[in-house]
Parts: sequence; C-alpha cells; structure tokens
Amino acid sequence: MRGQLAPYVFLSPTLVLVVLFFFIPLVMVFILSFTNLDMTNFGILAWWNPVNWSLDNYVKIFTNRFFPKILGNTIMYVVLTLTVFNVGMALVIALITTHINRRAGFAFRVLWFLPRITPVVVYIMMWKALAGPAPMGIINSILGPLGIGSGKYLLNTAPWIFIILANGFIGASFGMILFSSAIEAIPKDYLMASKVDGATTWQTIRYVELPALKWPLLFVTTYQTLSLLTSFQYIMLLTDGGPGLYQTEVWALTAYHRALTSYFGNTQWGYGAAWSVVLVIIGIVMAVIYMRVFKFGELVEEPKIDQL
Amino acid sequence: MKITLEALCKLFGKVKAVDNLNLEIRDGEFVALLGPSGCGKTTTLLMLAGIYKPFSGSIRFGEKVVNHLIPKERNIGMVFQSYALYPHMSAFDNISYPLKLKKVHKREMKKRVQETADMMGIGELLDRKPAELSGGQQQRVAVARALVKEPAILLFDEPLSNLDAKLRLRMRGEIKRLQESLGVTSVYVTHDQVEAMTMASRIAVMNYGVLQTYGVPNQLYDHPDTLFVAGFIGAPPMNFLEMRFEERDNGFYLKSQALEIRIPDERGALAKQNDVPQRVTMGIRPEDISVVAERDGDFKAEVYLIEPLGREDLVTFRFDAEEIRALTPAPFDGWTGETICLKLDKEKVHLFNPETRFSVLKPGNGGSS
Amino acid sequence: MIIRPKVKPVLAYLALIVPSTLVLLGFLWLLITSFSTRTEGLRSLGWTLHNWRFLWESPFGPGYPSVWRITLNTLLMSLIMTVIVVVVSSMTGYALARMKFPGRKSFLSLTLILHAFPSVTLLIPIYFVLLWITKIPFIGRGVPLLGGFGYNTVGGVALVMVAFQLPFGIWIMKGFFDNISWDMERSALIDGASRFKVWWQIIMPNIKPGVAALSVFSFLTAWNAYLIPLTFMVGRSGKSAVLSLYLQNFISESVMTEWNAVAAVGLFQLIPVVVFFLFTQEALLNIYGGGKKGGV
Ligand SMILES: Nc1ncnc2c1ncn2[C@@H]1O[C@H](COP(=O)(O)OP(=O)(O)OP(=O)(O)O)[C@@H](O)[C@H]1O
Ligand SMILES: [Mg+2]
Repeated sequence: MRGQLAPYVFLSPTLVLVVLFFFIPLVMVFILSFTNLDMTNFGILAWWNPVNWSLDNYVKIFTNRFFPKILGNTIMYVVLTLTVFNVGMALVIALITTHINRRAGFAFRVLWFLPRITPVVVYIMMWKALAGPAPMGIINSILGPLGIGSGKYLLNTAPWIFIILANGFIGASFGMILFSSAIEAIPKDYLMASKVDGATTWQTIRYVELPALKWPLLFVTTYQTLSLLTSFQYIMLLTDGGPGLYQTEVWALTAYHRALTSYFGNTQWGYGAAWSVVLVIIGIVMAVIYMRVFKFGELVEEPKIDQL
Repeated sequence: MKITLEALCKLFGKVKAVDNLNLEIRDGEFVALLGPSGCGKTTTLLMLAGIYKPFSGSIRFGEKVVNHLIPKERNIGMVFQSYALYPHMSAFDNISYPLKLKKVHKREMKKRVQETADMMGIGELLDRKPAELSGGQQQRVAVARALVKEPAILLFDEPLSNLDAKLRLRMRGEIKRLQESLGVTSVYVTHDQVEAMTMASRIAVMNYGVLQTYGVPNQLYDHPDTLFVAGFIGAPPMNFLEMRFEERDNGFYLKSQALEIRIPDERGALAKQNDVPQRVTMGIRPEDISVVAERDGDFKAEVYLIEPLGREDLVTFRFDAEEIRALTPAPFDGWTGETICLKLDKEKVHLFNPETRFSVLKPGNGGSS
Repeated sequence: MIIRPKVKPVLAYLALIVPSTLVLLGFLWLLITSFSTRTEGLRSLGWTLHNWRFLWESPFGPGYPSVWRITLNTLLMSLIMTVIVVVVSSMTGYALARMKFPGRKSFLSLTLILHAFPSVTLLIPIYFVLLWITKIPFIGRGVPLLGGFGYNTVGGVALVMVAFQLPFGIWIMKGFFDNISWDMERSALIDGASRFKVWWQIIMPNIKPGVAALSVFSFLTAWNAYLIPLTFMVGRSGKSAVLSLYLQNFISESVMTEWNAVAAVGLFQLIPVVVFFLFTQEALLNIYGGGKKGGV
C-alpha cells in the first residue's frame, strides 16, 4: 500500500503546480471564452453563470475578416523560424562548433547564446537599431555607402525577415545546446572507430553523429513548435503586428491584443480568451500528432522494479 | 530460513519469464538456479528479493507468505552480476549503507563493517571508491555489503561471471566456504554448470521459465530427467543419437543404420514400462565411449578432430552422417582420418522419448503421466 | 585531444561567422551606445559615462531602491526558481522513468502538452490564483526573504516561472534517470532504503551532471525572465522588483526614453550571466544525458 502511494508522492509537487497554474487557469479561460466579459461590464457580468455563456466569440473568430491572414502569418512564422533557425541553424552550429578547435567552438556558442540571456527589451532595441533608417541604423549605415538598399527603416520594408531573425537567434541556442551536448555525449570510441575505418568528416557526421541526434532532433522540433506557436513577446515589442494592418499579427499576439491591451478603449477578455482556447487546442493537437508520428512512446520503458 | 515457492508465475507482457515454478529450499541450503540465458533465473531471484511482484503463486520464507513484503522487510542480502556498487560512496560507505538505514549505532556499525571487510580480505581498501578498485575487489565489496546486515537469505545473481577464470575459481571456493560457515540459506544463479555442480547442494535447472529438474548434482549428472538437462549439464556435452528400440530374443536392442547395441535387461524393462516409443533418443556421455580393439567394438567410426585437453583428449568421430565425441586418455593413439572401433558403456546409456523429451529410464516417467 | 575529425577550418569558420556577424554587430552597438550620448550606425557621436550613473546614484531620486538591491532580488529569485525547478523536475522525472503507476505514459505526454499552453492565455487567471494564494496565511505573504508565494512576491513569481519551466525540466531529468543502472537501484532497495531514500541518496548523486546542466539552464532563464515578473510584480520600484523590471523604469511613454541608459542597464543585467555562462558552458553541455535515448 505504501508502495502504491510512493509514485504520487513524487508527482505531487508537479501536480500541485500544474493544477494551480495550468488547469485552474485553463478552465477559467475556457469559461471566459463563452462570455463577453470586458472592461465595461467587469464586476457586473456574472461570467461564471451559464446563462451568460454563448458561442458568439468563436463565431466571431472564424468569421473575422483577418482570420485567414492571422492563421497564414502564424503558420509561416512557425514553419520558417523552426526550420531555418530553431532546428536548421541550431544543427549547423552544433555540428560546426564540435568539429572546430574546442576554444573557438566554445566562443561561438557563447556568442549564439547571448540573445537568449539578453534582457528582452534591450534585445529588441538592438534589432531596432540594426534595422534603423539611415544614418542611424546599423545595417543601413554599412550597406548605404556600398550603394545597397534604400536606407529606409527595414522593419517597415521587411518586417518578417526581422521577426524571424530576432526570434530565430534566440530559438537556435536551445537546439544548439541540446545538439552539441548530444554530440559530445557520443562515446569517443565510436568516433575513433569511424576514423580508423577511414571515414571522412562528412561520413562521420552522417553515419555516427546524425543517428545519435535522432531523439534530440525530434524533441527540439516538437518543443520548439509549441514554443513558437505560443510566443508573441518579441513580435509584440518589434512590430506589434504592424506595420500594415495585421501584417505581422500572429495568433498568440491576437489573443494578447484582444485580452490585454486597450487600443480600442476596451479589453475584451472573453473574446481574447476564445482566441487563446483555439490556440491551446491547436497546440495540443500538434503535440499529440508529433508524439504519435515521432513515436515518443518508445522513450518510455517499463520500469524494471515493481511497486509492491 | 526455509524458502518455498508455489506455482510461481511472472509475466512480462506476453513473455512468460517464470512459469509455474515450485521449489523448496531447506534452511541453510545452498541451491543453484541453473539455465541458459533468458530462462528466468534473474526474474526468480528478483521475486525472492521483492523487486518483482509475482503474477501469481506464492513465496514463503519459513511459514510466512512474503509476496507483499517490500525488499526492506525481507531481510535478504543480494550480490549482483554488475556488483551494483554505489559509485559515489567509498567502499566503507557502500558496505555500511544497509546498517546506516537500519540506524545501527556508529561504533557498532564501524566494527561490523571492519569485521565483514576483513573476512572478505578488503579491510585495507575501505576508503577507496569503487572506481579505484579492481573487479575482484569490487566483487568482494558487493559480497561484504550483502553479508554485513546478517541476512536470513543470500541471493547471488551470476556474481562471478565478470571475473577472469583464475579469480572465478578462487571466489567460487571462497563463497562456498563462507556460505558453509555462516549457514545462510542461499540461492545462487548461474548459467555455468560447473559452478552449479561444484558449489550447490542442490541444483534447479530452468529452461524457458519452466523448472526442468531439481536435485543433487550427481543425480542430475548420472540420471538426467529430461533431454534438456542431459544436454545442458556436463562438458563436453552428452552425445545424442536417434535409434530404434526393439525387443527380441528376450533382450532389448537399440538399432540404427550403423550400429546395434544390446542394453541391460533391467534398463530395457524400465524403458518398456515407461511406454518407450519405437523411435528413441539415446544419450551417451563422452567419457562413456571408449576406443577398443576391433573385435570388442560396437561400431566403427572415422576420426574427424582431435582436441587435446591435457589430462584427456576430446576426439570427434564421424560415422554415417552422425558425429559423436569421446573423451579418451591422452595421448590419443590415432590420427585424423583413421577408422577406429568404438564401444559404448551400456550401463551408462540414457534413453529419452523424443516427443515428450522425458527420460524413459526413470520410474514414473511414462508417456501417460 | 585530436579525436574529433576536423572540418576544413576556413570553410567552417566562414559558415559560422557570416550569420554571427549580425549578432556581433548588434552587441557591439549596444556596448558603444551605452557609453555614448548618441550614435550613428556604429559611430559614437560623443562618449560619456552618464548612462552608467545608475551604478552609483539613484536616477529616479531618493527613496528608490538601488540597482544593487534589485540585483540581489534578481539573484534571489533566480536561485529560488532554479532550486525548485531542479527538485520538482527530478522528483517527477524520477517517478516517470522509474516507478510503475497507472497513467504513467499519459502523464509523460501531458508534461509536454503543458508546453502548448500559451502563457498569454493563462496570465489573467493565474493572477486570480496568485490572489487566492496571497490569502493563505504565512504561505501567501509571510515567508521571510521571499515575501511569500502569492501575488507581487518573489516566491509567487518564481512559482509561476517554475510551472512554465517544468515540461522541459521533467523531460531532461527523465532522460538522466533512464540511464541509471537498475541493479544499483534494486540493490539499494534490498539494502533497506525507501524509494525516497533511493532517489535522494543513491540516484541523485549519480546524476550530478544533469542537475548541474538543468540548474544552469534554469538560472539563465530565470535571470532574464520578463513577461511573468512584469505581470505579477506591481510597483516596478518596489522592493521585490527584479532587473528586467528596473530596466522598464527607463522606458517611459510620456517622457523621452533614454535609450542609451537602457542599453547600459541591459548590459549591466547581461554581463553577470555572460560571465556565469562562460564558466558553466561545460556543465550545460551535459544537458543531454548521453546513451541511446537519454537526455530527452
Ligand atoms: N523487466 C523486464 N521486462 C520485460 N521482459 C523481461 C524483464 N526482465 C526479464 N524479461 C524477460 O524475461 C525472460 C527471463 O529473463 P531473466 O532476466 O530472468 O533471464 P536470466 O535467466 O536471468 O538470463 P541471463 O542468464 O541472461 O541473465 C527473458 O525473456 C527476458 O527478456
Ligand atoms: Mg540474469
């Protein structure tokens, strides 16, 4: 009996945190999403009362004129950032930094880790400076004299490129660390054996290192897809969905805008919650698909000790 | 402490790792669990230890059913094949860990650890970490750790298989002596039949989770119950030949294309009693085959391979698409390719029913049972 | 050690340096800006130490906590969060890797699915949850040093951040437990240890590299946290404020923002963790537990 309880003792801290900060909030958001709670009726509307519930918010989302635009933006943002940076660039850096001089590899990883540990506001400020119009902007100040570019504010001319760059440089470091450590964890004998067999560097990477990266790759892909799907901080600070109408607005940012900012003099908590709920559902579906396709079940071995 | 296993089963998914195991181990006895890899030896041991929960059946220590006792409450010591030492602790801390958990007083603990370590000959090495010890020394630490809490039962899971041959021989003797002097009921898992034969008072042979036989070493060797036991115990292994069993002229004969032998009447009668089929498997150990002069021989065979073993030579013969191996006094007087006469010791011939794979020379091993 | 095969160095460096230039330029600009009155591209239009004055005086007048006090807060919050993340992830990771209980597989999937919950969604309701916690005696407000675990406390913010870090932490720690030998654990159980003691006395000391790696990662994440402290710590000037909020003081919607000062404060926040990272990269690079499936 004591034995049967033991697992739950170990799980209890997580259970408490999950219930407090995931489940209760999710249930509340779920309920809110059926109401039209906003700033004007806050404190008046009995949002917990089913009488005030309706599907209006969801109808509003799917009939929204900008719904396809926002969905398209989200997909593009997630797919591009993920493939080019969070997985692609991360893999490239990991492979290169583990094959060059150790100190140099070390230094490059520090450089690529900087974005992740730089205060968000400052990091965004840096990107704005990079994109700035001539003569202030760094890129323009370098390219201008070479006769390249129009010298305009690059966040206005190419907002997506900068959004993906800014997010990508942060995202890449996550995969970089996981991949580098997976490569470092390959037993030295394997590499030695492959070298003795006369393998070229590329062959070593292809036949020894990439197979060892299978699970980290799958994990990073899954984890970062979800991260990107729900992230909005950097876009918010960089373009806030602009410069054109909904030009760079993604799903999570919409949820935030509807629920928490008051551009139109009103924060529509109910409506924002509905956007969030749909996003949660998309996220869960994605997560489940990934886990099925990538066979994450294989990672779970039966414990070799029975609970008596 | 007496151990009784009754109808013990353990399933892993669909795999029956242990299948209806019945076994009684007397107090103070040293029993070996012998069998090929994957036959369920470790699983059985871990059920005794309380690490695995039986799917069905019961385990009793003395008269008490212990199925639901956690390992801590079973008072056992166990030595693992991998030693399973705690790498972050010194040898002293490793050995004293069971005592520490029992909240034994510091001074007492120190004394007992030192005593046990001295007994195992590692008294000087107590402040080293496992990584700084040789395989043999690690092994001794593991045994000391199992002994220090004075367990009622000792379990060994192939404790010697990671040691080199010489050390293995030595530890074999030491463990046996230790067990005899302490008188602790012990179960010793091994897939090395020599180890089992030399150390155990009784041997339980398992295959595919099923108990094949359980008896004293000599009996298993001289009167194997099943084809499996006959083939598994003994090195070099027993020879098997497919024969026809015939009764005529008041005698019993085994016949194949190349040879015909008459077996002793009482053996033949016993076989007949046990419903021996016409087609039987005959078993004969290499040491029960001898090279003889032409007129005394049972059959002729060609020398195929000679392997000197020192005291004896192991010679492989070929005849009639069959192969048979014999142990002959060294040096073997013959050369490869030579045809030679062989004689079987009829008193040592074993007979098995190829269908049931049981011996037909045991009282009560009839086909109907 | 010349064990790893070497790529043609020039090519490799090139493939790295080209994309790295952007970040390098950005950080160079940050450094220059923090010591300048104004910049044009990477050119300083006048050097000054004015932006760094927050180090020796309070730029917002007296009564305002010094940057050092706030740094201490940040350190404290990051440490608390790190400790909780590591302990909680280890406990859960251990149970998921090593113990039998109904729903084990689903629980593991669940931890990953939690990562699909957008923080934006949850911030408002979490605010209510924190308000409830605040009402609990002692735990809510009364804990010394942390203030408590409720709204507008270091502990409360740390807890929320822990919750968002758990999916990663649990998966990482589970990978480390997967690689521990079963015999060692069995042996400890037979020696008479409870499952809890096995975990704490036998297993944890043997996955120190994993603990170190996750600690480094969590610490870096916590130090830099922005959205959650911003949402749940009112009064940026308050005693509980952390560096990323302190920075917010320099950004004002009404007055002209001193961007050069923001750069300086940002660098001030960045430098300690860069140094920290320099010393701990080796440890962080153990985050993948090794072995066939380990790590994740
Ligand atoms: N925890 C487990 N989960 C699933 N299957 C298992 C487990 N432990 C053992 N088995 C299976 O049960 C059977 C018996 O295994 P066991 O380890 O008891 O064999 P063994 O006789 O000790 O073999 P060896 O000599 O190789 O140690 C094997 O087929 C094995 O694959
Ligand atoms: Mg075994």
